[in-house]
Amino acid sequence: MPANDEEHGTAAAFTGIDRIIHEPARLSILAVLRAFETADFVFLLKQTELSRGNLSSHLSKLEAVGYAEITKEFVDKVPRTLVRLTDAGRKAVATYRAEMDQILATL
Amino acid sequence: MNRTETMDNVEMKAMRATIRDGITEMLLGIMLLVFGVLFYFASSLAALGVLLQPLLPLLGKLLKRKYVYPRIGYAKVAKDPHAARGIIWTAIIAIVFILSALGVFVLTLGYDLGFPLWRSHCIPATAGILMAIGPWVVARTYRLARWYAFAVLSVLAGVGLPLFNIATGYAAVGLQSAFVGGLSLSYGLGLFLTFLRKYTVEEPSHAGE
Repeated sequence: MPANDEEHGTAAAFTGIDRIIHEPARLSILAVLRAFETADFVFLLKQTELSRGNLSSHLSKLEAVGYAEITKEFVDKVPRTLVRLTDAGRKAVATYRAEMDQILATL
Repeated sequence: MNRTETMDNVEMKAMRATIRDGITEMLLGIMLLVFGVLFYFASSLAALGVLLQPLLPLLGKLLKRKYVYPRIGYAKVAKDPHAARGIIWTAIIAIVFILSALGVFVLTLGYDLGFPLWRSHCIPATAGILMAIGPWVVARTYRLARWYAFAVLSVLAGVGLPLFNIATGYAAVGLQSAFVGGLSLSYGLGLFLTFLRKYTVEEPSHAGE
């Protein structure tokens, strides 16, 4: 394949990347969530080092696309927000990883 | 470092965060210490140590709920379907190794020396290997040096105590258990106190507010 076509091929591969996941803040949230069955807002806050507002906004976006599920509960009269990666989210992250590995291998 | 490596690092860092409070080390320490002391002074009472087993997770949950979750939040580690298989394989390998050692012993030294040597030297070494399985699995899962150290110390104590004539037989098993337990408990307490000093209680918060 000529160099130009190769470059074009790599660029085309990038256009297929899931933009929701590719954003660094959301990627770090998803990377944390991937290891856990469920995690609360404070835990995500500590691990991602995002601001409360920022984390909240990214979680809302992940919930809107169906990658994360957010539930609220009270433990000892203290409110707790639990976040869980949905099956679709877990699958999307796995696909994203595979695609990124493939692209990096071609560079 | 590429993105997938960064993802793995973020994931591992988050997983380690759930055990940096030292509670796991403290619980392991208490269990081994009690078991070791009972075994050393009255091996027939060592079974009482088993009664602790269901109580320790309750103590762990209580400590987490009171001191850990308000500081760094709550997270439940996803069940790794390969973890149980890993523990089972490690246990099988350890048992095969021990039985092979017993077989080799019977066919060689056992003829001349009989079983007192097995009781005095090999039982503590066997106990050391078995005690090392749990810490080894934790060390591999979280890639933590301190847990590798606990595993290696268990084996070394099991081999070393009879070898240097400090203790033999069941007394050595009790001592090695108490020794590793004491170290684990002290280390866990240190981690727990550092954790309490380092992290303050967080305001509870809802996403989307």
